[in-house]
Amino acid sequence: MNKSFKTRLYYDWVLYLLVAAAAILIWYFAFGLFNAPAPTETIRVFFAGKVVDRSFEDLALSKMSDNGVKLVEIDSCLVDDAAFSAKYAAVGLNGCDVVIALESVIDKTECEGTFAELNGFENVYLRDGKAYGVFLEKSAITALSAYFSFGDSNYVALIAASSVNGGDGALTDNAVVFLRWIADNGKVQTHTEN
Amino acid sequence: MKLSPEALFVGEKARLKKLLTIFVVVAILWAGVSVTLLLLSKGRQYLWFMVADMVISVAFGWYAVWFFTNPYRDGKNLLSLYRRMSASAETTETGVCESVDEHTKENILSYRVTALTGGGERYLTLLEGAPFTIEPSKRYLFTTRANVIVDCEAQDE
Repeated sequence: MNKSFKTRLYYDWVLYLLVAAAAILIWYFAFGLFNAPAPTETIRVFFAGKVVDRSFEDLALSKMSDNGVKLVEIDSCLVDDAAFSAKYAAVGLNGCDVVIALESVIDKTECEGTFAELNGFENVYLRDGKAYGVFLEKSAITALSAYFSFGDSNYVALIAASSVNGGDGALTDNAVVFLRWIADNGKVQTHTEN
Repeated sequence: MKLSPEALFVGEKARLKKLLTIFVVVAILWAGVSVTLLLLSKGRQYLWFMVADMVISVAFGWYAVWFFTNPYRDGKNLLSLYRRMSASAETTETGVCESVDEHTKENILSYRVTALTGGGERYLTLLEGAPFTIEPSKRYLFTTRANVIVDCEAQDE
């Protein structure tokens, strides 16, 4: 290290530090963006209520990974939250694949064009003679209550029409598989059962 | 041998161009390798690809900072000095060298020659690597341009 370099390092060390920090941050974000799972590899769930344990995401991912799913994300909002209507409409109905909400909330939602029609499910939520959702049975709610805080009312699980994983013009049926999994309470296992 | 500012300018410019070419080649290599690593990471565990990209980018970034704050800046300063020398008139003066001290200005290593001339005490610059030596207490005929000694002849006492 020659003398002039040492002298200049005294003044320019900030540049070396900034360059290193910038290089690390830029690549961190670039790799994150480049390798982000595609919408067809992601299941986003909107839950109208409180999420107790986010490890459900890992459990669901382990169940769905055979279908090529790389990420399961849960968004939630309390029904009595002031921002619920806005978040339900923006995130739940337009940004998520599966919506789990109180029957009373779904009753106030226009289902036609908002939720995908379901076939081959039992205990379905009907509107104008069409099946749009599945009622979560008591056994399913009991199994899921380790992860979600359910009230006393009925809960319905639906697939958003905009979902690429089960909606109109879907590219995969991952949301249907997911819905079948959570509706079929016998297959929902908590970590303690594992 | 007399120093020619024009020749020095041309030589320095060629050296700087060579350095810049090396820098551009390294930059292209860095860009190629880092983009390839990014593309290779698709559909795999990308941690080690990301770490490799970060390491080579930090190395390249530091090289770039070093390049532009050291050799490139030094080259530009030298070119500026040679340009000033080319633009100024040549002056000749006889004087006795009082001292020769190492001196660095704008990171150009040179020697400050303190000479007692007919016009009084003068500070002259002797560039490092100049093809003549100046010793204290001797009389010289100094030829200067922009205060830089381009030629000097020892004079008899």
